[in-house]
Amino acid sequence: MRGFRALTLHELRLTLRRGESVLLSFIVPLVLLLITGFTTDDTDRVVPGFFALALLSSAFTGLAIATGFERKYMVLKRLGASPLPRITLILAKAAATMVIELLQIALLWVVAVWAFSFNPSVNWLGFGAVVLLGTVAFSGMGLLMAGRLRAEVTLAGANLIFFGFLAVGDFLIPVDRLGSTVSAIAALLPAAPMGRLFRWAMGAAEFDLSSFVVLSIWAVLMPLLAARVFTWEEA
Amino acid sequence: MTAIWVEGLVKTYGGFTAVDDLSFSVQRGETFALLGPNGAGKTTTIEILEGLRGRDSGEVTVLGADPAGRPLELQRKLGVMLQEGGLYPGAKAKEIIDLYAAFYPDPRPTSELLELVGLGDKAKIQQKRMSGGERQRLALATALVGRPELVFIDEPTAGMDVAARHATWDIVEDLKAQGVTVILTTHYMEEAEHLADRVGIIAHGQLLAIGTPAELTSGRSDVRFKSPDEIDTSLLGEKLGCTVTMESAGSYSLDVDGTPFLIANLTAFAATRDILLTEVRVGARGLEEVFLELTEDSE
Repeated sequence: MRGFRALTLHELRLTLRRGESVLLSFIVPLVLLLITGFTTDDTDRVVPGFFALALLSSAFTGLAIATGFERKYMVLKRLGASPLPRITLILAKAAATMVIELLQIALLWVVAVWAFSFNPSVNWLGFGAVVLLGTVAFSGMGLLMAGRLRAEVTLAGANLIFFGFLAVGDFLIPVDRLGSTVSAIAALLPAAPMGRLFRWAMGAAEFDLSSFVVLSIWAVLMPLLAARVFTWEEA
Repeated sequence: MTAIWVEGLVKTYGGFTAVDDLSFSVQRGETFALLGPNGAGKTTTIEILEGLRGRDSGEVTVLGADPAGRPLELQRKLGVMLQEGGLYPGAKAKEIIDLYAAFYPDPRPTSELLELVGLGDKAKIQQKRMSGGERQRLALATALVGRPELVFIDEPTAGMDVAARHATWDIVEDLKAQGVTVILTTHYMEEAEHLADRVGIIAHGQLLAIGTPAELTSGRSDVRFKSPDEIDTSLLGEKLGCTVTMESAGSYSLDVDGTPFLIANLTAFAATRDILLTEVRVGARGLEEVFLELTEDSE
């Protein structure tokens, strides 16, 4: 328990100290929110998309890059030679990621209320479920890359995928405006379903069963696959 | 009491045999050095003992337990310093020690450890801003934070300047004085000779020799010579009053002091029989020569 607490705080400290994490997780979503918010009337629809974007940046991109370099620098290997159980390492990373997500969402929420009179009718249970499902799916995907690829490849790939999801994640641009082929593919990827479910949880859309099923499948598949292929040091 | 017991250890990577039927044991309180060239299997062996790698066959016991499953009770008694890396580049020295301290039931105070490894004034410096030697010493501090009974140190002083190296040796000697078992790998002969109670020389994953530095260097000749010509070793031994051993083709050693008189007799023996001496060497043999000879022979 002492180890879990220490490692969670350690992870949080390091994440908030990295300029590029803060840029990606806090500044980019905030700036995009402000730009979009002042150019749309439909803030109830738009703001939840930024919660999804924020989650993506920390659970996927941030976690993948940080873990990739910890693996490269043999930080994970060294932890393996300490009495820290592997499960505690994973739980501490999960906890630190969730805390960052909550900080991101709180920041965006407060700004949206202040700047755009954002006033959603929140289904808290649904909201919690979407955060949890999204975190598991995207952190699984991040760890899948980090645990298998070279850190530099993970760095490039995780950023690339982030911007890909930014385009087809139904966060900023409604995905049905991208043509039927793109929107059909996007509906099978985890980002757009997560965006849609965030809007549902905040009263801006109907519940969409297929989104829920797709995101759930990713949330099961990604961690399982990551656990299978993860190696603790680069070959 | 036995701290480490290794019997018939084998580890292969694909078709490459990194550790090939290795057997040795280390007593509690002993400082044991694995000495060998790069790729000899030192790090693989030590990482199997640390529980970081599995093995293909053989028996391994560390403080009475099999390290393979990383049993927590065992891990708490071990201190590990990897050959390189292992520390968060973005974290400060104090943060790294504090983190590791949280993993052990009775950790040493962080400030005491930083002083011990000579980083008392670097507590708030990020690891990535430190020199190679400072990083090594920080890694050593993480190995000591849990008051280990057994410490693994892989290449403790690689990349350190002379002062830092001697300071690190002092730390290892302190550990020894406290009864801590120390397993180290090194390719610095001087380091093995200075620190280790016993040395195991390995190459190609096999143990070539094991013993105290004195044992490994004694019983060996002070005089060696080389000659491409055929030599009657028993006749030469008779003339010189010592035993002449052919160590390898064209390479001989004498188990006797290399006095000027002896050298004169040796060269006279060669002159009367038209034997070409291509090299005559006189001198005390250190671990380095034993090491080079053993590892060359195994090529």
